[in-house]
Amino acid sequence: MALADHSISASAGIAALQRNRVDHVVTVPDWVQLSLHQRLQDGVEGIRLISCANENQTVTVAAGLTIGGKRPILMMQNQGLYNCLNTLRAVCLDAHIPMVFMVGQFGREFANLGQPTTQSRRTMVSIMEPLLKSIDVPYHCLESESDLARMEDAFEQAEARRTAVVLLVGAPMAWQ
Amino acid sequence: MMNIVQACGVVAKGRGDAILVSTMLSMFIFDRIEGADGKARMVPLLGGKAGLVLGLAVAKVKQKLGASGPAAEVATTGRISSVPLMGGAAGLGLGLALAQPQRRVVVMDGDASLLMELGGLATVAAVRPKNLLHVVVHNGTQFTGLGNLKITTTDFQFAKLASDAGYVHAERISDGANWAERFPRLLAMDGPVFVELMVEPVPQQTKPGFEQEEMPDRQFDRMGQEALALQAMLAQDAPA
Repeated sequence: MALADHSISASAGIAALQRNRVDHVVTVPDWVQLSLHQRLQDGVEGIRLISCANENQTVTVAAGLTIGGKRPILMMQNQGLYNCLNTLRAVCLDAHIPMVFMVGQFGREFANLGQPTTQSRRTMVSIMEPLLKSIDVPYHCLESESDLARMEDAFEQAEARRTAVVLLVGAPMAWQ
Repeated sequence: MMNIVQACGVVAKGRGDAILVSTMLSMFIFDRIEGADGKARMVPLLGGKAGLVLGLAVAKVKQKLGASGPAAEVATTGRISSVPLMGGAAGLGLGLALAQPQRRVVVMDGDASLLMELGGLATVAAVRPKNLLHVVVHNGTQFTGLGNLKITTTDFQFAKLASDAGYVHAERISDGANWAERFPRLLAMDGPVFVELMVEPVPQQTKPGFEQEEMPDRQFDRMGQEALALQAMLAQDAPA
């Protein structure tokens, strides 16, 4: 299956953020979502980009924004999510501050597209879904542009359950 | 050097309606000196070990007299504790400062906590929130008052690092009276402002035979409860 069948365009990503009234993107950049990062860095009306030195800070900054009445989303790669697991535990699982993460499946081989990520030969990809299940964090796989509709579900779930919800971006986003 | 009651007492007495983010040690001290009514004005801020003992003793009496419910009840209006989460205070404070630009935000960080997330200084400096006062309690110990374990470095220059990272103003303060005098001006200054407080460790209480108490549930619930209360308070204050 071609990469284009799985790539979500940066334009569609921006539209989804705007549709979901996201006002801050808090991030450590991700190779998979590079085209979306570029668009945000170039400037999108109504969305402020906050770059952090590491992913733990993205979680705490987003928590402060949420408490203060804003609607942030986090962007990072799978390695970043592994890095901030204790902060996610404290902020989202113990303190129940709702939060939506967009996490790129960095390192996923193209041969795995269209297949379960648990069958990826790259550990950082294959362990992600089992890990999220084990800590009871809901997630949705974004495997094509139509899956962006799951962002609405993610925000609803995060707020209803007062927890973290992860959107797994499966393939490099298209530069359109 | 000042003691921890002086370090936190100045903030408790002078913060007004500023949001206060604290780490474990400061949280416990704020609980004690703000007590059930959330007012620290009766607590004396005197230097040395005698000042520490007197300040905590008065706080304890005040808490017992003022509490209508359980003795452990404390008011945490406008406060949130980064607990149990070392390294999270500056990020929480930054997010709150960005979301609430009309309010001052004071972060009472710990030295061991800040060492875990030193990159946060660069994050704060890059975003440049004008309303953020970031204070670090530099007492050189972890589990102060219990084990007093030394932190990884003995003479780390936090204020110098914050200044180099790009904070608008950074200074180190050792004297309690000087801290009390400087605090209103530092709080009013356009930030981000950083203050490194040189604080004496709380004397070690442990000795052979000492038994550590079980961590209460509140230790794990309070950040969420404080977040909800703070969110509700800020939503009420938001312009229509």
